[in-house]
Amino acid sequence: MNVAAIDQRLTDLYERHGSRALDRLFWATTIFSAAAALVVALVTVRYLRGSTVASVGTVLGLPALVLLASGLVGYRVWKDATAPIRDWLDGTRDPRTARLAQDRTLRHANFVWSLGLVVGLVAVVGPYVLYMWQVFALDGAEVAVVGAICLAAAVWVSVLSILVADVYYRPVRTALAAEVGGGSLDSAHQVSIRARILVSMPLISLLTGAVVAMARTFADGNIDELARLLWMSGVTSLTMGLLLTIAFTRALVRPLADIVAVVERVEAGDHSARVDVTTDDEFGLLAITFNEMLAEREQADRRLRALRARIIDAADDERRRIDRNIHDGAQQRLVALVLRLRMLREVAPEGGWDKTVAGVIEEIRAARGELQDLASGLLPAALRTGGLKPALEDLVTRCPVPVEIAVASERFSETVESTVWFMVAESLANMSKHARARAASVAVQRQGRELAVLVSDDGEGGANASGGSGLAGLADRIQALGGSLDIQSPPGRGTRLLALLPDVVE
Amino acid sequence: MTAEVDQRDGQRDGSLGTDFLDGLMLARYRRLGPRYIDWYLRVAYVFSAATVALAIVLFMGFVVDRPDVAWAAATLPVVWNLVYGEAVMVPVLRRTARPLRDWLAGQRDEDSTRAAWQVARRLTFLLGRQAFFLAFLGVSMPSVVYLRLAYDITLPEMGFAVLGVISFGTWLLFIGVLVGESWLRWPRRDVTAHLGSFADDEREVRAPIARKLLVMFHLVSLLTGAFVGVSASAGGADTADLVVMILLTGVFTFTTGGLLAWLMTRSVVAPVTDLVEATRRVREGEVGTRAPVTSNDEIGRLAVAINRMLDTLGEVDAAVRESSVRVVRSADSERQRIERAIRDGASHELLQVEERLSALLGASDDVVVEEIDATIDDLMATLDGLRTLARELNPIALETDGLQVALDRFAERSRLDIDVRVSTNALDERHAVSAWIVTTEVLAAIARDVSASSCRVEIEADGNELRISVRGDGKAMGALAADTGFLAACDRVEALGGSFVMRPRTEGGREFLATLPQRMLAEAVP
Repeated sequence: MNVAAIDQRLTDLYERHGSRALDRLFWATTIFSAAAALVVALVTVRYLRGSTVASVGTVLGLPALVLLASGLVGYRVWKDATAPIRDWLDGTRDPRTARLAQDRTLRHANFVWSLGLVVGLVAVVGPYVLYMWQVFALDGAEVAVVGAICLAAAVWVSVLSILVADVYYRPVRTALAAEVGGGSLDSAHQVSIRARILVSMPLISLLTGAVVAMARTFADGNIDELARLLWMSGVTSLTMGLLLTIAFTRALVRPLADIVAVVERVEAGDHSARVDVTTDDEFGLLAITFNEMLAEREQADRRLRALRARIIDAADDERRRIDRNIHDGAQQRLVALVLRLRMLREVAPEGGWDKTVAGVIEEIRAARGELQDLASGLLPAALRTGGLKPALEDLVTRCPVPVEIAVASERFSETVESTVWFMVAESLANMSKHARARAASVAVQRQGRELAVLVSDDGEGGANASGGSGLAGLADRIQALGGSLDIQSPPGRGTRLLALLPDVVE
Repeated sequence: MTAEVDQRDGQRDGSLGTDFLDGLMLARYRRLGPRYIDWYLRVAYVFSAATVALAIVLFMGFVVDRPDVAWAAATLPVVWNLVYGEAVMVPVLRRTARPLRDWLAGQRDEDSTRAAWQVARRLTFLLGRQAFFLAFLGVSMPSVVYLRLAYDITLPEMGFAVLGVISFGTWLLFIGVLVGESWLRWPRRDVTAHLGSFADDEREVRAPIARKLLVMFHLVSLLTGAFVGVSASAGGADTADLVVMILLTGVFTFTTGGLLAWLMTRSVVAPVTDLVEATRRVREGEVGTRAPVTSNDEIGRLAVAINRMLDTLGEVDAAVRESSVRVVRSADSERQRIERAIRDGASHELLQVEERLSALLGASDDVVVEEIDATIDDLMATLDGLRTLARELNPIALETDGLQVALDRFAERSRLDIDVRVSTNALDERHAVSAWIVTTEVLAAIARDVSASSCRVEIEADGNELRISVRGDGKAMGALAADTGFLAACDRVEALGGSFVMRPRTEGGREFLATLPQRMLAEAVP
């Protein structure tokens, strides 16, 4: 049957009944054990012809003993062991309960195993074999046969219960895993796949052998022939069956160890480690998917590092640009001016000083203007003191194109504010240089925890963030803050830049 | 196998977990090359000959009680196995596995690798099928018919004989297949490592775990049923008994065995499917996804390990992200500082000069000449300020002074006693700028520690890397980790693909050591 369909039905069951759904698992297991005990009792009395009263007592007594032992001892222990799971199912949703509940569901197999062994061996099999020994006066070989059948039945019921519980618990485990997160495992309580298969495959083989042996001897009740055939089936199961099982589990679970080895290497920093795909089952698929995931993460990591490197490069370039700007502009002017003044000082100017002084003032004013332009292009003081609104309004007034502006007066972190300012400055500068626009608009608005910045114009379009352009640097900067920059600039149909900056609210 | 290929694959030997058997096979694999594949079959038929002999001897000796003919009965199948194996199966294998053998012999282009992979993953199955039809149906069945004719056995007895031969033959076959799975692990590993990516049809699950488990559970059950049956018929069971036993074996195998196989499959496959789904989602960008831990077994442990790995990768990412934001911030504060330096420095001074000169308009010549002197002085001071700023902005006018001179000048201004030794002059501008920024940021950070008084800087480079070592005598080591300038230096080192360490020196104080690769990261990644 479909895994998802069963999970769905079980999920419904848990939703309807809460923790009482767990009781169903317990009683189903108990009734199943009692039924198995009934079969065992029927078989053993068939081979041991004693008094009729003893036979009836055995056939009715063994299942009753199982029910009694499970009900009296088992249910209390079960309730206690599953308490956190019950609490969680009944709506106690604190992290501690969830963790405990997860731990308990994951340890369920150990629990069934030990409970099955304690209840099954101490409370049921032991008394039963003793009873048989007394009532039917068994010899040593007969005690061994009866004991072996009981033991096999107990192990078989436990294994089946564990596997059924795996199915039954799955929706709970999945929900708990989602709630608890990464999770941790207690290696002392592991029940490995290898062990599960190693126990259950020879067991099913033994059971088939036993059933076939009984089919042969049930009619005449020949216990010697039964013992011989059981012996045969035991030998076959434990030689050929076990050998096959060992080879099988070895091949089956090896790929898991391979993936674990690679996980450890990646964790230790070897990002190029990959799993070798050596099977074409689900583990092979897992290996392929896992490799692709690693490759993707490695790519992402590399992109992130490259981004950081580009931002540093851009900052270095910026410093050089400013240096050149000062050197070629204001500095040159002032040097020339000083030389001129020195010359003038030796040889007084013709036609009086006034004209000369006016010229000097002009020259100084020009140098100062250049410096001021440069400074305000870096990061205006207004941004620091007054926030985005005054800084952007000032920026817009210096733009040759009429710009409609709508900016929230809210304050954000310095980095966010400067990024927005850069974006608007860069796009307006681009527009006035290349776009031949007639009108533009700037809107800065917070949407929830996100800040949206939209700059658009009706110019010629064709803007892009190709390498080295101001827009590329801008996109890097926005990306470094975890945001995104969308550029739409079809030729002839205007330019529209939309930046989204996340988590701007402290 | 060529030496070069051998060496490359040899480096991967640690990549898969190995136990004793793996170690044995790996040694053969390295030594035998393409013939490693043939040896798989040789081991298989020798093993099956030995097992068949043993089974027949045991059967004749103990079950039918004819020890006198036991060895004679075993001879024919053993000889047949060996002759048939070498004469028929090995050539069949060579033909079937040709792409893989070619690949192992060194033919490693894209198409050959892909063909080798197709064969490698299917080889045990293909061989198993051939062995089943050729050896099993062709050899075992006639011997059952011979039994019927020679010993006059009844039909139900023959039923168990057939069941016994089938289950025993299948058992042998599966042991062979499973050994093959281990045997082919090494060639498969090497082929997939060369393969790179997988096409959609190549990632198809062709041998699902469910099918494997179902076959295995049925097989072990049938096997025991058949052996007990054979044993019972040899022990004198009548026809009616045997018919019931055959029916029961079948029914029990397919119900209980099937049920157990299904339950087992679910408990293995469902968690694996969860894991595949989780890794797929991470691959598609949902990096916060974690694998659900729903079983305390090998798969559960794998899920926990994968989750922990994803956490670690996430932390590394977050650290890089944070450092990117720091880089942006430090670039911003740098701009702010320059802006302030211009506005409050040069720009402000020029405004004052301007105002003073404006007041001169219409004044007498003497006053003007005097003021011109003052103006020249003021302008010189402003120019000095601008030059200082320029030097900070672009510290290394490499063509003229180089890193040594620039750092010496920095050392003169520092309160620390700094000894600089740059033993390379072949740095390009980007490296020189980075070296300057990293060194000066670290020096500035050390200078902020009042217990420090002297420093020694060594910068050297060879063809591969640039090493910067700054040794100071300060004590407050912990304070550096929170120093913005120091963090900026570290960010820069990391961003350029380099690495750094900060460690205490035995003679007191500490050493900062950074290594930058000559080929920088930004160039390596488009």
